[in-house]
Amino acid sequence: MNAPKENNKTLRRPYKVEQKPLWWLDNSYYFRYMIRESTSLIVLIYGLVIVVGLLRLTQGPYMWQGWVETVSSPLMFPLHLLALLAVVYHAYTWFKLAPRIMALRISGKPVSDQKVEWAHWIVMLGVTVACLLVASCGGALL
Amino acid sequence: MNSEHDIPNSSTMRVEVQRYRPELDARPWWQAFDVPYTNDTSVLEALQYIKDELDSSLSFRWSCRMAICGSCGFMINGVPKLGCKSFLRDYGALKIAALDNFPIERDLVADISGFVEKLETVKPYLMREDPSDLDTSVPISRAFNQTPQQLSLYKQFSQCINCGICYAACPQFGRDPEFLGPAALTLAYRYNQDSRDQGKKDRMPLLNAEEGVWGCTFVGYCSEVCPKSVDPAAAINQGKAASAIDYALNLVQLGGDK
Ligand code: SF4
Ligand code: FES
Repeated sequence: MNAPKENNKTLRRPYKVEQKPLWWLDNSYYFRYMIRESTSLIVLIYGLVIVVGLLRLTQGPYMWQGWVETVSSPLMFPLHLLALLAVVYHAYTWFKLAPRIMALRISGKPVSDQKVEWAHWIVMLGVTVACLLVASCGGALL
Repeated sequence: MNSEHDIPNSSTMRVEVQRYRPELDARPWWQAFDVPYTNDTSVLEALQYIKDELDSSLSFRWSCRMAICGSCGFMINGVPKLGCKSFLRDYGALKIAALDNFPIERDLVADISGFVEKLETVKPYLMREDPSDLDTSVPISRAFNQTPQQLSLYKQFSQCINCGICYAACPQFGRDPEFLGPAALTLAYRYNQDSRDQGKKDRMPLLNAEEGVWGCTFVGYCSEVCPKSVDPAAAINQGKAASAIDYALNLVQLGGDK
């Protein structure tokens, strides 16, 4: 940044520091933020795998069977594990932030952040268990 | 004034200070000083000691020395903090620089004028639909009462001292100086949440803009470093909910801002 043009007598010469490309390596808080954000990439990739599965399902039993075999191959195991870890970590960070976004009040009184966080965990566990139940019962019916 | 610096047998600490003299220096550089200190010596006092006793050419901003004027924000060992609210006893050695993400005017003085202008753009005052409500030429004839509950909706967000520390902690502001940033967005939200205010529709376009709430990615470091526990990240992200609702209302033409 240069001194203002209209006053060339000024000795002002503010020094502008550009943000470093790897700014997030300088500070552990920023580093954890980048980890948090990058977990969503893994979740995105896994989501795409599931979408492909849905597509295969619409294309008939043969295609579906192929997809099931692909995703259950041992080579895919690391992706499943990575996706699970990423989802749990992302949920953990998100549930920590959610209470501050919601600012929930019940009959005028603010609900503590911890309660909102726990409520998120309970709902997630409930939904997970319900999905697993439906999935395994559906399998039993076949 | 120096009596407390002169306490015998006090320890000394190596304090490195970032210098930048625009008329002499091409870029900032570090200058080291040994500063005596006691249990209650603040970083601001250490700087004052340097200026009084060691090098009078050092420039830095301060006024209240009690964490209320917001002038003495510095990067202290890489973390943005108020100098008067940080103490030498908590450090082994010190590196003090001007606040990150702002142009350096001289030494430890960051040029925060862009930040102050942003505060002004968000219309940080009570607005009423009926202008006679604000008519100061007639005696005040009625009160705009507020319940403790209504107060609690914005009280925390009104504690800001405009120190700019949250801007030094915001990589989005560091990347794009046009981003309205933590304190200004919090201030806008604070007035939107005030039951006496009716100016929300004038502020929503600012919040909805790309430089508004959506420029924030909830890094959250602003709230971590804020010396007044304002929690700007919470205000901005609650503002996102308000902005999304405003957008949806506009879509179905039910109002919101124009
Ligand atoms: S929100 Fe906090 S850190 Fe930001 S300017 Fe206000 S007091 Fe300072
Ligand atoms: S001197 Fe006023 S906040 Fe530090």
